Amino acid sequence: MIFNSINYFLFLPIVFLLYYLIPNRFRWILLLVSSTVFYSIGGVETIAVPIIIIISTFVSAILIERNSDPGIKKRYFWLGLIINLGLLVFFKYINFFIATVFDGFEIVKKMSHEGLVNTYQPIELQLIVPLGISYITFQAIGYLIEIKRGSHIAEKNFGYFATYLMFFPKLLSGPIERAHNFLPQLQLEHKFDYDQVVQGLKRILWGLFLKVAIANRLALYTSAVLDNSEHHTGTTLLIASLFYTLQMFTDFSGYTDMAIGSAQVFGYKLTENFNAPFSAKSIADFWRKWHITLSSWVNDYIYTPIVINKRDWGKSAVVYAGMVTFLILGFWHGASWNYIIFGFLQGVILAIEFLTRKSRKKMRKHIPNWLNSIIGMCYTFLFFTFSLIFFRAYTASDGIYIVSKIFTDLGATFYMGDIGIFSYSLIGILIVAIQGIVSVYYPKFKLLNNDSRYIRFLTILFLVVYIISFGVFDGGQFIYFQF
Amino acid sequence: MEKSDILKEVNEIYIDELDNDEIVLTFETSANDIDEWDSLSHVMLIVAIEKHFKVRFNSSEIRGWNNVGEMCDSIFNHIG
Repeated sequence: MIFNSINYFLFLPIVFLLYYLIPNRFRWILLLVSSTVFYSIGGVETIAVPIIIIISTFVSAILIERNSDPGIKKRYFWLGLIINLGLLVFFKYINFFIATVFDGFEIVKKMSHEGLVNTYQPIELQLIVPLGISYITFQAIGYLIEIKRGSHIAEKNFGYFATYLMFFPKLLSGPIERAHNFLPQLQLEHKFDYDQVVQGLKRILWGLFLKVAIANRLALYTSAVLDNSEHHTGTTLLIASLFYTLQMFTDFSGYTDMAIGSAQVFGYKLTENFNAPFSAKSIADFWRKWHITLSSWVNDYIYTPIVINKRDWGKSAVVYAGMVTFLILGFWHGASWNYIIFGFLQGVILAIEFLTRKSRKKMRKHIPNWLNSIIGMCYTFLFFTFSLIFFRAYTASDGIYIVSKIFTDLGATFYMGDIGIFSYSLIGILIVAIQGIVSVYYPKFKLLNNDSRYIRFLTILFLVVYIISFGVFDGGQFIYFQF
Repeated sequence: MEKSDILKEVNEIYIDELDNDEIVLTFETSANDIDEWDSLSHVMLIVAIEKHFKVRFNSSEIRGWNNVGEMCDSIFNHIG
């Protein structure tokens, strides 16, 4: 079930009403049952996968905790880890591995029997990737690591643990919630809090606005251009790529607003995933503000252990750990070379930023602060846009083709398509840009939470009217659902 | 060596490594308080501290630090 669907707007009020009608001690059961229903609508064929992950992680964690022998602890940790990673790799990456191995054999064959190449096709398993598997496994693996490190106590209530991994607002695309943030909330008294519920609903409205009125509208242009790159000039491809960065942001942060808002109406607080990412002045800074729960996860469980372990290498340790981390992060997005290039580019630029820190700092001293900020923000936005070309492309060669065209075929003319699509895209970008600038530089100025009830009402009215008038309701699912 | 002396020496290391003369550490200072102290520079600071005090921290010790004070406690325990 997706958030911007009629189903969800029937599902959410029903669960909400039942939730506050039943006694507090039964509410987590309702959340677990409704989350299972939420998953099953659209993913019932693969419901066994999250069940296996929940049972194996729950049992492994208790066994790790109960045993004092480090060797046995390690064995149970690896058991839980292998089950999680095994399922993730099998469903998400098996076809990529088969195709890559097959390509390898084909190359060898071509080299040894030139001209005698058979036209075998690689086997492609027809698998349905379980919904939200990347997010469920990342939360489960993080939990196992914390239990093994002894920094958390294993959850003994199976129902609570299942609710942690299945909680429907974050089930499909995060935020990747840490167990120690979520599990204690299950035991709190969740009284009906009018202000919290209203805040949650406003957040859902804002998320819906970002998704259907901005992201889906931008998608009309970006899809028309980027899916037919051979028919467009470099200038058009550049504009579509810049639009795609904003589409990605409004799509994913819109989803996250709806997820956090949905949790809030039940009295749950999820971790923020975005913090004005386009105010970042470097790529290192950007990754602290963009998809925060994923970058902090990879920082804690991949980057830091590697860099600490290899610290005797000095600066090379940082470069190496950064590169490994971002390659994994790229591969996490999908089993395809274009995602690996996306990760590789982040790793390279991070290494360059790290190695040139001191010299850049010296240079910055000669430039006014405001100019430094503008240069930093433009550079970050443009580099991220450049890397997203590979992210958006279907294959690595498509990405290379678009980039080369942008650099070689820039001219004054560009495709506007339907003037409505282009102008509403620009209006949408303007609204998001103003909102972003205000939230960073004038944080006290609020429209949805203004002191005046008339301004609050007018803002809500504006959003509703804008969504109804300009929203694109058949814009499909959120970009990040596929990961 | 007193913990306050350790703090002074750690402060000098931070100034050198992060290239910022204005850093004044307290036991409560954390990575949130200093712009240049992020996950990239963190390991360089650890390496410089280990070299200066001739100590070797283990991974769980490093993971456990929440502020400069806890880092100084670790140094104190090693050189005690």
